[in-house]
Amino acid sequence: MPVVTRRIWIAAQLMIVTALAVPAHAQSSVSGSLAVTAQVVTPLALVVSHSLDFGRLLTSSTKTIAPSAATSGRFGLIGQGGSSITVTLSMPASLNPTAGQNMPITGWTYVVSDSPVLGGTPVSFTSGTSAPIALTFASVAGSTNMYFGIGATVSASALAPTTAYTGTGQITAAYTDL
Amino acid sequence: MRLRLVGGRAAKTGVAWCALGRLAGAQVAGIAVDPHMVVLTATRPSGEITVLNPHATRAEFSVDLRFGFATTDSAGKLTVQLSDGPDSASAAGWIVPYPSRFTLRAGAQRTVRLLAHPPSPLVDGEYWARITVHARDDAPAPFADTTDRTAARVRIAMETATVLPVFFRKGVVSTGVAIGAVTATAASNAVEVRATLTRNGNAAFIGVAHLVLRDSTGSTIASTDRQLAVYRSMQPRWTIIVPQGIPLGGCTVLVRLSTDRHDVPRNLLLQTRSVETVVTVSAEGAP
Repeated sequence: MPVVTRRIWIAAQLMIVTALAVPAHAQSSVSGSLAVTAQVVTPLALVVSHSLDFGRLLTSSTKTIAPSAATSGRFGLIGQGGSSITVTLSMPASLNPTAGQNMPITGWTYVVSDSPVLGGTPVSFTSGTSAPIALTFASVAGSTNMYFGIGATVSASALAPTTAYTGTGQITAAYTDL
Repeated sequence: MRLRLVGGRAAKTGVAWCALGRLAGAQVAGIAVDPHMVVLTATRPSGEITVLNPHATRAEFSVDLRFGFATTDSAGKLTVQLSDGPDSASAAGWIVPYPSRFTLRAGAQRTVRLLAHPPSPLVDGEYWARITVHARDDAPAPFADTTDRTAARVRIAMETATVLPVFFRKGVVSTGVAIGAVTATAASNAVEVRATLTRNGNAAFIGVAHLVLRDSTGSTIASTDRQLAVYRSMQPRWTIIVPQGIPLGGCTVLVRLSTDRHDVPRNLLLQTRSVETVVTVSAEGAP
C-alpha cells in the first residue's frame, strides 16, 4: 500500500509540473497565439495482482480453481484506448516439489473482461504457449483497463509428498497495431 | 521549448503511473514500459525506453530484441510474428539494449538505452525489431505456513513480458498501402469485413481503418475505427456492430485507410495519402 500511495503521489507531482509548465511556456510569448498540442499516450502496463494459489491440497484429492474465483491468477492490462494487443499465456504442465515427483496441472482456463468482476465464459487452453489472444482496448480517450483471470486443476496422488509445489507461468503482451 | 518537453514527458508518465494505480489489489508482479514505440535513424541512432517496476517487491528485468512485425493470422486476427531467422528487414542483430539485465526495487524505474550499429552499406529503408522486456520476481514470497506437513501447498507464480516495436530508418523512407480484395458479409447484428492490404514504399504503414456502413440511400448506419500496421501484406477481419433489426440488403461498407493516428507522435509517423474502397454487403453464406 505505501508503494501505491507513493506512486500516485509521484504521478500527482508530475501532473502538477505539467499543469504549471504549459502556462509558463505560453506566457513567454510576447504576442501572437501559440498552439500547444500534446499527445498523451498511455504505455502498455501489465500488473499481476494475484498468483494462482491452490492453497492446501490433501493427498488423493483434486482441486479446481475457476478463472473467476477469488484465488485465481489475476492480472490487469492498462493501455491506450483503441490500441490492439495480443496476450500469450505460457503455463506449466507440472509443478515441482522441493523433493519427489512432480504434480500435474491441467485444465487451464481464462476469462477476460473490461470489469474486475470477471464474468463471461471461461476459455480453455493447453499448457505450454497458448494461441495469442487478440484484444482491442475500448475506443475511448485516454487509458482503459482489461482484466484476466486464470484457473486450472491439480491432482495430488496418494503418494504425493505433502510439501510445497511451485511453478511459473509467463504472460506476454504485445502491440499488434504498431 | 524545454518546458514543453518536460511537461509533455511528465504528462505521459503521470498518466501511465496514475493508470497503474487504478488496478486494484496488491501487485505481485508486473511491468510497464514507456514509450510504446521507438524510432531510430542513421543520424540519431540511439534512443531509450523507461521500464517501471510496479511490483510490491524487487524484481529482475531483462531486455532482448528479435525480428518481428505485426500481421494477421489465418482468421484475420492481428498478431505479431517473431522470428530468429535472417530477414533483409531485420534490425534485431544490430540494435543493442543497455543494460540488458537489471533489478529494480518496488516502484522504481530505469532507462534502457538502445543503440543501433547498422551494417554498411545499408539500403535506404526501414528496418524492424521487437523489444521484449521480461520481468520476474526476484524473491518470491514464501508460503505462509511451512510447518504444515498434513497437506501439499500449491502455487503458480507469474512472470510478465511486454513486446514493443523499434524502427530504424535510413535515407529516404516512404510508405503507402493498397487495398486489394474486400468482402463484407452480413452476420447476426454485425457485418464482417475482410480486406487484403499490401504495403507500398519501403516503410511500414502505421494507420487506421475507418469503416462506415451505409444503407441503400447513403445514410450511415454504423461506423468504427480500427488501428493497424501494415508491414508487408495482411488480411485483417473487422466487425461492424449493427443495431438490432436493421436490414442489411443493399448496404455498402466504405473502407478508408489513413495515417490519422492520434497515439503516435507526428514526428514519428510517416504520412501518406488515404486510400479507400466501397464494397456491397453480401448475405451470410452467399458466394
